[in-house]
Amino acid sequence: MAQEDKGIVVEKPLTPRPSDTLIDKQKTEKYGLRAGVDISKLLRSFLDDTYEGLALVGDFRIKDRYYLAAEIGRESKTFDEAVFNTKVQGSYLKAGFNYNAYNNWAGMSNLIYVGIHTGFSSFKTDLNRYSIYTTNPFFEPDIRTDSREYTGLNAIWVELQFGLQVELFSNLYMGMNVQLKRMLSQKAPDDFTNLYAPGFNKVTFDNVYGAGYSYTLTYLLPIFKK
Amino acid sequence: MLKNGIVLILIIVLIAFSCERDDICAESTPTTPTLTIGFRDNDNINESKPLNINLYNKSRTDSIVYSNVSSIAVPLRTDTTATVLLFVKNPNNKVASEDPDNTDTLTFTYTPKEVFISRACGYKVIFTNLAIQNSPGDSRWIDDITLNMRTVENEDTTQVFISH
Repeated sequence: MAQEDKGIVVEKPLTPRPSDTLIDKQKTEKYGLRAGVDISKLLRSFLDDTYEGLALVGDFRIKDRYYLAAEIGRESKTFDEAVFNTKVQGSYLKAGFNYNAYNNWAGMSNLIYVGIHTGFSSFKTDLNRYSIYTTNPFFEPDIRTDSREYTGLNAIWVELQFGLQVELFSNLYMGMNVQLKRMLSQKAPDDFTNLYAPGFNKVTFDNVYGAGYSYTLTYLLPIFKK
Repeated sequence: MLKNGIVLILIIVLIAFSCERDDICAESTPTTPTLTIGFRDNDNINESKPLNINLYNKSRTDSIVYSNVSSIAVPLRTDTTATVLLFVKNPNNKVASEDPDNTDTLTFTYTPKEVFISRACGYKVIFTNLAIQNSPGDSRWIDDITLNMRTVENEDTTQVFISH
């Protein structure tokens, strides 16, 4: 014991000091089903006379950063143009995965995500009026109003989604996303074209790409915490 | 970083949404064709022979005027299977050396067929089984009508030749 006392002062251990609560707090991650509505479709239905739509959206966290996501909806869109008046209506289903690229602080559960989804849409088109296009004005315009209905139309596509989900209040989320789509196959009328596909949005005549967006309001039903 | 990329794409796409291309039917798109008629010399069938000609509808309320041409574009009704047109050679010219102010009435019969063109242009009509009947009245100026083609689906070919 005499050796240890040579010039060495042994201090008493420090009393424990309260540590940083943010670091030490137990990291809990909520897992559960988040479900809600696409409010952009509701708003557009209200503002745009030619549009009606409703969609339910949901996702389920399956792994730390991975979510299983799905959307089901109905849409109708009228095109009143010089050469025809037509209404497309039907329903769709989308499903896929989202990857959350955002590193949350403890206790937060926001998302900045990228997702890949596939979509299937089944719809019909009513051609209410059309005219025969001519550049020669000698005879009066040939406008036809014998209504035609094309049923059994469909579309299949893949889409990339880029979006945000922000927790506004406890378990209530506001989300927005944009969707870049590529048509894989579509069944169009023999003597007309698909102008719109529910869920896909506007279908263009000369290319297979499309785009869309949505604003969502969802509620998370926590099933378990990690 | 992936999340910055996602936010950037969000912004770009939202801006891009505001500038969509308009759907306008381009002038170069072939739409409902007119019938092309060429005029030939009855004395030499291989030679074209220009003339002054007016086309009228049956009630003479509308007209198409051509001066010194050897080829004309004739509109056909798309809403029915026949078009009746008055072909007047040397219109209002009572002192012409040949066929002064002479009217022949031509009836074009055909089967109209509707064809979808595109989103911007909608539908056109093409014509098949074309036949032409001449009701010349007192005196005829059309000597012969030759159908080169019985289908009118574009304006690139002369479907009918009239010799006079």
